Amino acid sequence: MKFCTVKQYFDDENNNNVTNGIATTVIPLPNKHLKIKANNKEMEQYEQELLRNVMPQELTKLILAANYLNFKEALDFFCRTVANAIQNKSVDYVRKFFGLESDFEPGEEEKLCKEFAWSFEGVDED
Amino acid sequence: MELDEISNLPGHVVDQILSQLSIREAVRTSVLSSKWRYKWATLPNLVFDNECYSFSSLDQTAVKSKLVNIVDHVLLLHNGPIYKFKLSHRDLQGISDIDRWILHLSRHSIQEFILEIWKGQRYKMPSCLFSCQHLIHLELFNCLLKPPSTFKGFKSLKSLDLQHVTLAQHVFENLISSCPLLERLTLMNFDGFTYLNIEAPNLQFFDIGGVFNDISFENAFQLAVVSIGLYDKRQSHANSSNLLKFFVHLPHIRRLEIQSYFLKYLSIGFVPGKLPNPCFNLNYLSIRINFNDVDEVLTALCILRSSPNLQELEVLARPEEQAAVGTVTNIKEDNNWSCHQLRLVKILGISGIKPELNFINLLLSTSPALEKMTVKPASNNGGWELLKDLLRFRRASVQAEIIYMDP
Repeated sequence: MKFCTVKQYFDDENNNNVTNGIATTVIPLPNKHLKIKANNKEMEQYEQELLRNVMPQELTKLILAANYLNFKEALDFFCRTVANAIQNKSVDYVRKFFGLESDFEPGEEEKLCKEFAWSFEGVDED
Repeated sequence: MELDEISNLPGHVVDQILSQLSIREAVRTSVLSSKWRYKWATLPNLVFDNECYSFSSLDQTAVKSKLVNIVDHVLLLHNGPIYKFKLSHRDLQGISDIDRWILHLSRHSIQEFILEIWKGQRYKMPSCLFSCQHLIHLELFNCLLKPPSTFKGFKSLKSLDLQHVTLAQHVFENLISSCPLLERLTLMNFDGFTYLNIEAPNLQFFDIGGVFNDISFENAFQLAVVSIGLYDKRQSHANSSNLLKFFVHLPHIRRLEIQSYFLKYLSIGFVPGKLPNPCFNLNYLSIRINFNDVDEVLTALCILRSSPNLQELEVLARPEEQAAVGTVTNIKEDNNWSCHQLRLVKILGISGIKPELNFINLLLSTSPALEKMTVKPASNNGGWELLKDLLRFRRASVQAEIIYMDP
């Protein structure tokens, strides 16, 4: 049973882990999944749509919700969406996407980039 | 504070996101922020393939040194268990650094190990590979195996895939019989051994293509999916009945593919009208057959008669150059036979000769549940004649569609 934690969620009034907005996106997913399971192209389109409409922070919340609800397929899907979004993108782009700020010392970042030079070759510019 | 929640996701979730990326993409995240510096380092699956670096502009020595640097760098910075390690790069030859990496893996509970040497000679696997007792899946391409005498098998191994490998006969036998949990075995293009005596009580899937003299199974009662291709048509071993010997230990077989010259092998020795124990579970059968060889045709018919629950049949004809070994003008029919469950049939590569037509005629008249038969000839020669014959055959099934496909 995929939704063993869902009942718990609805029973628990003060639930900080999953806000209502998220629940409305995550819970209809099984049906959506079943409908488009066989069709990869549709899945891609749905993924694109999700990416456009949902801010990265929302995506994080979706992931947390799926994790909390123990909903493996949704978790796989969201993680894959994030991975596809940051694939082949520059460090600055990914930082912006995640809402991160570099907290390295001035010379540290350059040193790291040099150490991992092999991984930087052939990357998209923003 | 809403920002940067992603860095606070649980470790296994971050692992899940990063493992969808190639190793170089994952490693790049170490530059994002100090929190992200070592997130990639706990990734349990490491894949070094054509994605990780494109060496096209470099010469062989530069390739070697670049690849070695990358793998060394990653392995040294990695932290924690490594469950899966795959090394498969088109420019990878059998360099001795591989030994060092396998040693490292053997100390980190490796469960899945995949090594593909695309170029050069067979790479001799180091003895430390044989001490990886947590291995569940082992896949090797272009390697040579010579385990130390202390090797007692891989006790956790469930899946073994060996292609373009060299092993001695006793090494092969010991390997199979000392992996008690083995469920899947793939062997393609092997040398060093020619007798296949498969003793694997948990084996469910068996896929083999190569040159061998003899094959038999012992204690393989779970074996459900079998695909065998014998690439050599010379038959050296005379047995009393290859067919009976083959099927006696496969009571639960569900899917069977008889490829290349394996049907010829099965036709050697005594071929009964029907097997003593029917293959009740067989629902898919694919045969590569030489319709000019009467023994092969009789063998195929024996298998068909012994598979009461067959649903799908694929027949791939191989027209041989030489004259017919014996002409099958009329297959003497046992009228008690019928393929009650046969729904789909595909017959490919035929040329319209008599044995082929007789066979098709027989199938049509003994399959009351047939839904679709697809016929595709080898060439356009005699296409019309073939069609005329097909049209005439009586069909036991009222809903059977016969679809003729252009070659």
